[in-house]
Amino acid sequence: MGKYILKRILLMIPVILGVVVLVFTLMQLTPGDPAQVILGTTATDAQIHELRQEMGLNDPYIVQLGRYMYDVFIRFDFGTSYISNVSITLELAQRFPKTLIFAVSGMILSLVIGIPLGVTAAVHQNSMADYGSMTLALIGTSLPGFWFALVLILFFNGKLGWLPAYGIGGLKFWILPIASTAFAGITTMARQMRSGMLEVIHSDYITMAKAKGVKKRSVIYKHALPNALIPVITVASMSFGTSLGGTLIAETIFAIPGVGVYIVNAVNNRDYPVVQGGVILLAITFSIIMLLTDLLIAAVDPRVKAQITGGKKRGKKK
Amino acid sequence: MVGKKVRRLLAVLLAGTMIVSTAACGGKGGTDSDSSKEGESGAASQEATAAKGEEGALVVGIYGGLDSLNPWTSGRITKDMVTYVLYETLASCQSGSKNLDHILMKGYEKVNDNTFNVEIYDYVKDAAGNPITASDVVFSFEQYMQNWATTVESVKAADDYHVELTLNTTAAGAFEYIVCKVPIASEKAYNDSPDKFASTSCGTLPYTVAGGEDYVNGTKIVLRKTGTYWQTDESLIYPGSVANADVIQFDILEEPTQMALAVEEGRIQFAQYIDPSLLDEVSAKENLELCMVPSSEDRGIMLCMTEDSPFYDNLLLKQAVLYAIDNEAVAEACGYGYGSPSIVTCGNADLTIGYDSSWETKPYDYDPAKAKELLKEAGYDEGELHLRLLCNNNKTITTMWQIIQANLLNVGIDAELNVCEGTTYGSYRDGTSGQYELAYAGPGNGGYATSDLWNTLFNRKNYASGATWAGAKDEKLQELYDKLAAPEGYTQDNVNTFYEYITENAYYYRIYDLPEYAAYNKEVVSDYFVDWNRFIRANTIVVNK
Repeated sequence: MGKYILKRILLMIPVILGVVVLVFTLMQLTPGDPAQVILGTTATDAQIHELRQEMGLNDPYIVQLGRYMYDVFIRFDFGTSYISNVSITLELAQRFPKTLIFAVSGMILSLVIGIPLGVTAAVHQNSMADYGSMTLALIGTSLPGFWFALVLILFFNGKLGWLPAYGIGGLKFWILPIASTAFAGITTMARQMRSGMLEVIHSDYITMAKAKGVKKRSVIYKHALPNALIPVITVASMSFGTSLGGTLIAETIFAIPGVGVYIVNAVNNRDYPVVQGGVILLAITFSIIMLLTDLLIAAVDPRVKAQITGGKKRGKKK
Repeated sequence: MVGKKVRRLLAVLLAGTMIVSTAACGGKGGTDSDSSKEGESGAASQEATAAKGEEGALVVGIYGGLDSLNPWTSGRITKDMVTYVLYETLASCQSGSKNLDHILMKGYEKVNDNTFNVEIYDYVKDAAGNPITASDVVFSFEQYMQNWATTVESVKAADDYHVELTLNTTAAGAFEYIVCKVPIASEKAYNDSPDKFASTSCGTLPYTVAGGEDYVNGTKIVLRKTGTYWQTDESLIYPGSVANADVIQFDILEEPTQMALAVEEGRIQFAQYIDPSLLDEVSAKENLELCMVPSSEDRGIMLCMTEDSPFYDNLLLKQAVLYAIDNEAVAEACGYGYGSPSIVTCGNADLTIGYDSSWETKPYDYDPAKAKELLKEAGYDEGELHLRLLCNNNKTITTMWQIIQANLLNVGIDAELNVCEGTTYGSYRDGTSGQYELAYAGPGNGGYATSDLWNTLFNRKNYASGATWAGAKDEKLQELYDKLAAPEGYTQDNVNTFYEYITENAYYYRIYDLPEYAAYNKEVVSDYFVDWNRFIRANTIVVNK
C-alpha cells in the first residue's frame, strides 16, 4: 500500500507540470493583452510595448514558460499579480481556506443528508418517502443556485433577521452561503445513492442474505451500503474537486473572497501569474483528493484493494 | 392510490416552495411593518461591520473589489471610490469645468507649452504625520506611471515644494487630467508600510485603513477617521476633502440584486450603484432616494475604416447604417426607462468641455426608409451586405447590440454579432484587428475632448498602425485634431469644426445616454458631494445623528 501511495504521489509531479504547461499555453493563446489591461484604453501602442518589455511578455514563449517554471518549482515563488502587485502566495493563503470551508462543509452536508435520503428512498422504493425525497432532489438540481441564494437571503436576513446577508466572520456568516451551495450537492448525492442502492439491493447476494434470515437493518447497512457507496465516493470526490474552483456564484453573492472569484477576475484581466498560481494550487489539491478517494475506495472495496496490493495478502494466505 | 398520494405530495411541496419564495420576496413591499424588521436585519448585518457599536459609522456599498489598497495600481472606478477617500491629489476638477480646485497644490505656473511648475503647500502632512514634499510628489507620479499610461514626459523636484512637470503633449486638459488623477503619498510611509500599501493606507486625508480585520479583500474595507487634517485653513479645504463620518465601511457587493436589497433593507446606507433594471424597484421605496451621476462612458459605435472595410470611401453606406439604428428603442431597452437617445453624434452636455447646443440636431435619427434608400445608393441590394458586429459581454451593451443587429436586418443588412469577454473585446476593438465592421466604443468622456474622448477615438498618433482607433487614415481628420490639440487650439470654433467633420463623415455615432444611479436612505443621509461628476465621495456623506 505504501508503495502505491508513493507511486501516486510521484505521478502527481507530471500531472502538475502538465497543468502548468497547459494553463500557461492557453493563457498565451487567449486574445487580450495584460499590458493593455493595466494601462487602460488611453495607452498608446508605444506605452503598451514598453510595459510588455518590462513584464517580459515580449520574450519568446519558451523563455517565458521556462522562467515561470523556474520561479515556481525552484524558487517556490508564484510571483505577484500584474494588476495589484500583491504576492500571489499571500493572497492564495488568505483565500484558499475560505474556499476549503465551502467545499468541505458542502461535502459533509451532502454526505450526511444525501446518503440517508438516498438509502431511505431506495429501501422504500415507490413509497411516499421515495417520491418525497426524489421530488426534493429534482427541485434541488433544477433550482438555479443564485436564485436560491437570494431567496435564502430575503427570508433569513430580510424577513427573519436571523442571519447576516453577506460578509465573513463567525459561524453565522457561513450558514447561508454553505446552505445555498450544498443544497444541490445534497440532492445530487441522494439521487446517486438511491440508484446505487437500488442496483445493489436487487443483487443475488442480498436476496441470499435475506433468505438466510439476516435482519433487514443488517442487510442494508452491512451488506448493501458498502457496495452502493463505491460510485457515491467517486461522485462525492469529483464534486468536491469541482466545488474548490466552482463556488464563484456564492462567493460573488455573499461577498466571500475565495479562490473562485480570484481566478475568474484574473482570467478577465489576463493576470497570467494569478491564473497559473491558482490553477496549480487547485491541481495539487485535486490530485490529493483523488488519491484519498482511491484509498477510500480500496478500504471499502476488497477487489480494488487486491489490485493495489497486487493480491499479495491473498497469496500469502494461500 | 399511490398516484393520488404522489399528486398530493407534489402539490404540498410546490405550495411550500411558493410560500417560501413569496414570504422571502414579500420583504420588498416597503410597508411600515417592514421598517421594524429593518432593525432586526440591520442587527444581523451589524455583526459584519467592524464599526459595530461605534457612533457615526457609515456603510457604503460598492460594486467591485480592489485587489489592493495601493493607490497607484490600476483598477476600476470602485477603486477610485476608496482611493480618493484616503489619498488626495494635487488638485481636482469637475468634469465639464475648466477650473482647477487646488488641494495639495498651492498654485502653478506654465513655463512653456508643455512644462508646468507646480508649487505645493509647505505644511502638508499625511495621516502618520510625515511631511509631504516635492520628492514625495515625484515618487507618487513615478509609482503611478508604472501602472497607467500617462502624458507625463518627466517629473522633477525643483526644490522642497516645487515640482517641474513636463508633458509630451500640448493638448488642452492634459495637465488638468494628470494633476487631478495621481494620488500623492509619502515615500517614507510607503516604505514603512509592511505590505507596500496593499492592505493599509497612509494618505493625506483624515482617514486610514489599519489592515487586519479592517481590510478583508473582496468583502469589506473599514476607514477610520484620524482626527487630524493638515489643511487647517478652512477656506482652503476642498469640498471633497471634508471628513464627516467617523467610520466608513465599504461593503463590496458585486451582485446587483444584493446591492439593491442591502440598501432597501438598511444594511447599507448608501449604494454607489444601482443596476438600471432595479431602479424602479428602489425608487418605489419611500425612504430611498436616487442620485444621478453622469456616465463617463460614451456609449457609441465605431465604423471600421480600414481599406478592406465596406465603409472605406463609402459615406452613403455609413449613413445608411446609422439611419437604420433605432436609438430610442436602444435607450429604452438598455436603460429600463432611465436612458435617453442621444441627440448628438459625440459628447456629453454635462461632461464635455466645448459641448455646444448647436450640435443637438438629432443627426442620423432613426429612419429605416431612408436607410434602405441610402443602402441602394451605396451600391448594395437587400441581403447583399454582411457586417460583423463586435461588443463586450456587459449585459446592457449586449442588449444594445442585439437591437442594432435586428435594426440592420430590418433594412436588409445581414449582421453577425460577436459578443466577447471584456479583455478579448479590448484587443479586437482596434480597427486594424480585422475583427469587425461595426464595434461598440465606450471611450471615457469627461473634460477636454483632447484629453479623453476624441484623443482616444481619433488621434492617430496614439496607435502604432498610424490609423485611428477604428482604422481610419484621414489626413484632414488628423489635421483638425492637431489644430485642436495645439497650444491655445481648444477654441469653440475649432471644437465645432471638428465635431461637424466627424458628424458629416459618420466616423462615430453616440447611440444613447444612460447615467449611473446611486441610492441612499434619505432618513439617514442628508448631504454628499459628487466629485469629478463621476462618483460620490463617501467621506463627504453627511449622516444624520
